[in-house]
Amino acid sequence: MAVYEDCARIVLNTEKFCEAFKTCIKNEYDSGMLASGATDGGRWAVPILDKFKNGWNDGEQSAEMQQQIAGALGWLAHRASDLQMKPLFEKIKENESGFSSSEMQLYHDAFAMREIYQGGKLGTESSYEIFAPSTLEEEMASHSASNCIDTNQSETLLAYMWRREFIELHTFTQDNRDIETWVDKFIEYRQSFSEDLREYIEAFQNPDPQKMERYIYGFNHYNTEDEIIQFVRSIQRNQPYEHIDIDLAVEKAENQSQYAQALRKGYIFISSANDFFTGKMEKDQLYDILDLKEKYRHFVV
Amino acid sequence: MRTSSRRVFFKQISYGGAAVALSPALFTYCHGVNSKIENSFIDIDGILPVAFINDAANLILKKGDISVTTIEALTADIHQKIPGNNSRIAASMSFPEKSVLEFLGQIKKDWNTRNSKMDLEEKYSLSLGWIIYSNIQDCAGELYNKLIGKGYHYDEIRICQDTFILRQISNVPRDDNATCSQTELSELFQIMLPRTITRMHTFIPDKDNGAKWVIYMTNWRRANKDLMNKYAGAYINPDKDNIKKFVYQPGFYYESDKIIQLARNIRIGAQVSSEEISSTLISDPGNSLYAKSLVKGIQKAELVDQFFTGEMSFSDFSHQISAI
Repeated sequence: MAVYEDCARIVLNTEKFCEAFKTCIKNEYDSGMLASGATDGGRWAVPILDKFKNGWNDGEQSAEMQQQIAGALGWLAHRASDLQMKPLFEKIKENESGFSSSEMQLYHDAFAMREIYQGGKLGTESSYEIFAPSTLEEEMASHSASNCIDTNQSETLLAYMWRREFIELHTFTQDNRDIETWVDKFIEYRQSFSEDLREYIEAFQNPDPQKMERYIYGFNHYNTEDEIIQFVRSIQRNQPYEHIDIDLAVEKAENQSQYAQALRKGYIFISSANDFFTGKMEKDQLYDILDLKEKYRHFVV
Repeated sequence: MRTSSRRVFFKQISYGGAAVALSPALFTYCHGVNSKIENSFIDIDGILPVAFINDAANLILKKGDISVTTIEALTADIHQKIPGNNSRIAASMSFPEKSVLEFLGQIKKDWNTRNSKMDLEEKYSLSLGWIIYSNIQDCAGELYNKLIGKGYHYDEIRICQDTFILRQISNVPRDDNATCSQTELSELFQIMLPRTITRMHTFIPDKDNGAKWVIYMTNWRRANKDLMNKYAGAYINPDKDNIKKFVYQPGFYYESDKIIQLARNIRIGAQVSSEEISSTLISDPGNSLYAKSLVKGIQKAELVDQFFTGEMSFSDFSHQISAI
C-alpha cells in the first residue's frame, strides 16, 4: 500500500505519465489502494489496461472505467513490491533455518507506519483508509472516542461483519444452486484472520532491537538518503521535490535500499504500462517486463 | 439475495419514512418455520448476525456438555486463524434449512472417512453457525418485511437495531463521563477497518472477475464509510422514538429477558453457571425475538452436536431439529 501511494506520487508529479493514469489516480485513488492490497494482480492488470486503452480517448470516461484503471495501477505496485521482497525472503529462508518471512513482513509494515506515516500522524491519501496514532495501539486507547465505547467488543463485531461483507462481494455468493460448491468457494474466499494484530502493535510500540537490526537495518530495507525515497517523501510532506531528477533517482535506486528498489520496479512497471496504454509498447513486451509467464497471458476482462 | 445486490435492491425499494404507530400485535410474527428463502426476501446484514451468533455461541460454550469438535467450531477469536471464526460469519449463507442439514450429514460422512479434517472443521463451524442463526434470520426478516410494509426504510431499522446492540454489548463506557462527537466515533470505527484488513493480510479478489471486484470494493468502501457515520450518529444520539418503534414495540429485544442477561454476564466476565443456563432454557425462554431465537439456536446447536458426534440417525436428527 505504501508502495502504491509512493508510485501514485511519482505518476502525478512526473510529466512522462499520460493524463489517463493521472486522472484515474486523482479521481479513483481508493480503487488503486484496494487493489494494491490484493493478490492476483498478474491476472488482471494488463487485461484491464488492454480493454480501455483504445476507448479512453473515444468516449465517456466512466467512473467504473477509471476505478478499474486505478485498480490496475495498484496491482502493478503490489507486483513490484512482491517481486522485490519475496525472492529475498526465499533466499534468506534457504540459508537460515527458522527464518520467518511473516515476522519480517510485519516488521516492515510496522516500520512503514513509523517512518512513512509518522506513527499515524500522517494519513494516507485515501479518505477511506484512515490511519491515526491509535491504529497500532491496544484498544486504540489514545483515540478521543475510545472511552465512549467498548473498543474490543465493537471491533470484534465490526471485524466479523466486514469479513462477511468481503465474502458477500464475490460473485459465487449469488449462486445458490449447490451448497457443496458454494461452501468450497467460501473456503477459497473466506479471508481468514491469518495475522495477529497484537504482533504488529508490539513491533510498532516496542520493536525488538535485534529484530530491527535483522529485518530493517541489516536488510537495508529503507534509507532516507535514497533519492527516489526523498522524491516521494518530499511530495508527501509538501516540501520541494523539483530539484530531484526522477530519472536519475530511478537509475540509482537499482543499487539502493530494498524499498527504493521496490519503488524503482513500480516506476518501471507503471511507465511500461503507460507505454502500452498509449500505443508505444506491445502487450507481450509488457508481460515480459512484468515477468508474467504464458499462463497469465490469456486472461481478458 | 446477497449483500452486494441487496444494497442496490434496498435503494430501489425506498418506501419513505412515514411515522406509523405499531400495534403490539406485531409481536405475533415469526413462526419459526425455518425456511429463510421461502418466507423472507430480506437477509439481515450489519452487526446483528455477528452479535447474535456470538451470544449464542458463548452461552453454548459456557453451558458445556458438548463435544470438543463443537467447542472448537464455536470458539472464535479475531487474533487467530481458527476454524471457529467461520461460525460468526455464517450469515453469508443463504440456503434452506433442509440443504444445510443434508450438508451436515455429508460433512459427518467425510469426517469419518478422511484423515485431514482441516476443511471439514471449517465447514462444520460455518454450518453450525448457520443453524444457530437461522431462527433470528427468519424472525428478523419477517419483522423487517412488516416494518418496511408500514413505510419504514430498511436502513433506519437496521441502524437503530445495530447501534442498540452496540450499546448493549459495550461493557458500559469505561469512563462514564466520557463524551465524544459523531465525527470522532465515526473515525474510530473507520480506523478499525485497516486494522481488520491487516488481520487478513491481503485481499483475495474474485478469480472470475477481478475488474468487477475492484468496482464492488470501491463502492463497498464508500457505502461503509457512510454506514460508519450513521452508526456513530445513532450511537451518540440514540433516537428514543426509533428504539421504541424498532426494538421494544415489535418485541425485538428486551434487556429484561433472562437469557439475554446471561449472555451479557458472560461478555463482561461475570459468574454464570452451566445450571443457570440450562434452567433458563427450560423455564424462562424470554419474551423478545432475540431471546427466543437464542433459546432455539442453542437447542438446535446441541442437536447438531449430538448428531455429529453420536449415533443419531439423520432422519431422527432432521425430524427433531425441524420441530424446534
